Amino acid sequence: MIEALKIEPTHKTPKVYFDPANNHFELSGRSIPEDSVGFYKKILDWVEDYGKTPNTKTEFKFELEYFNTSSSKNILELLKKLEKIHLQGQSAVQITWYYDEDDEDMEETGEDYKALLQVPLELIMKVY
Amino acid sequence: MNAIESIEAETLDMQEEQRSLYFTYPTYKDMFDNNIIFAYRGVVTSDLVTNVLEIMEERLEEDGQSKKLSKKVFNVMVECLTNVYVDEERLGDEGYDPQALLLVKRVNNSYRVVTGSLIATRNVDPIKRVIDKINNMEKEELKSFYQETLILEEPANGVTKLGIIDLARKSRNKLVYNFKYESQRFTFFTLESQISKNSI
Amino acid sequence: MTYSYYKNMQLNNIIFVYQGEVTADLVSSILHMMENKLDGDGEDKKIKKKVFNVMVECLQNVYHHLDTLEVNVSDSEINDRTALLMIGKEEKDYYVITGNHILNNRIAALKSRLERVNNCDKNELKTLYQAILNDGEMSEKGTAGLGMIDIARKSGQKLGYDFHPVSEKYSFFSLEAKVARV
Repeated sequence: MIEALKIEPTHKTPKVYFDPANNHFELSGRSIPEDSVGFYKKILDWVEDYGKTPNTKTEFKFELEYFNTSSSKNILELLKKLEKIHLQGQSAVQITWYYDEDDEDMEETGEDYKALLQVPLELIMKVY
Repeated sequence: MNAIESIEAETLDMQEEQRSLYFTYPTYKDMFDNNIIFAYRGVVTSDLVTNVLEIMEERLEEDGQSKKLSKKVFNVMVECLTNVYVDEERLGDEGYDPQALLLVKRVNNSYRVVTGSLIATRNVDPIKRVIDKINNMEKEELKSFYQETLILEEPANGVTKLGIIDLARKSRNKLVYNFKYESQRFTFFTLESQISKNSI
Repeated sequence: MTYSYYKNMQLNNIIFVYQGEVTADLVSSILHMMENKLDGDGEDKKIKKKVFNVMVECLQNVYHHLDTLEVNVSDSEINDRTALLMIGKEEKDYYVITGNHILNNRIAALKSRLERVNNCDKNELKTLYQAILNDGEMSEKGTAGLGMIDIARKSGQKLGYDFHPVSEKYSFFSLEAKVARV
């Protein structure tokens, strides 16, 4: 089992908490960095690695507040890697996409990704 | 010539010490008349995005706007500012001013976010075509165009096709643009997104 | 129109300008933004602190002034609760300008306060400040006087000001404080 990937959130980059041992995978907060490719590279590499010996079940949570289009491309890459793991059959991947009840854009983005991918993706609205 | 342009003409003749005070009232009046809440000129970074959102949060609360509209304004602003993040590759290029302009206007209950930045003159036509195309699209078409572009386009900094589509999609209003040719290499590109009742 | 704003700001070295109602939270957010901007520009620590302090004083000063204003319902063409906040960075100094409407009948008193402050040297300002503070008469006039002195002390330079007539009742008062960059 590979080591967990933990990156503390900043005002511009999200919290990354990928912990296979506890079957907890989370990407949350804000994603508006100037260099999104640089930031997401280590995440994508890690997921690629994880894909070699994944858990039987992988529950992946996305709970983002803001992200810009340069991040959306990278997030799509991340989702595609999860899709690949799922389609290869070694792990049942389930993605949960959270959005605020007042954030139509985040809901729409979740729907966009859902339409583009063949991995189970559930949209969950957060109500206050 | 509007108030701002006439100030330009007159201040060129003045001594530095007098200048700033002289144009204070005309600036105020012009902003008040044109519903401009604030203007920022400088290099745009993610730090600035955070700060501007903070300011807008206060302002929107003061204006008594709904959470839905406020969230929309924030989401649009994040993308507007992303479009004018400094282009590291251009730094040091002759004639390139990395400082961008951000203007926020409020007209009744709609907000307009305007960004201005220098882009390569050779990109003017392609950008113009994309915006004209987008402005004529219906919601579903725009959605497909966005998804298509998301898959095909490589992540990039500065003004991108995906970024522009995103703004049109989120604001649900036509984008307004302007190009001011500065040199063979660089053109000042202004883009205005409108967030109104339509947008939510 | 946007292009002319860009050019005007470039010409006058304006970084930021705000027009509208001023609340305590807004002032706080603007200060936060300017703090980050100063950090990002790699400005000298001492100067950064000075500029920031002058900004705090200027913005709070206008906020307090507006806060204590009596709302005037008859003068509808002027929103006397809106202010202008402008920050610029020139070769030799940073400047902070605040602008707000004032009643014409208050101009004389304000002008004499400003002239008095500008005629003081560093020590005289200190004495003046303490004198008003100890006066015990914390009227609106009193606290406004303190604000002005505070700004002058922190800036280390004479305050600039301008009264622009707007109507029979009102003028637009601009106050400028500079902080040297060297």
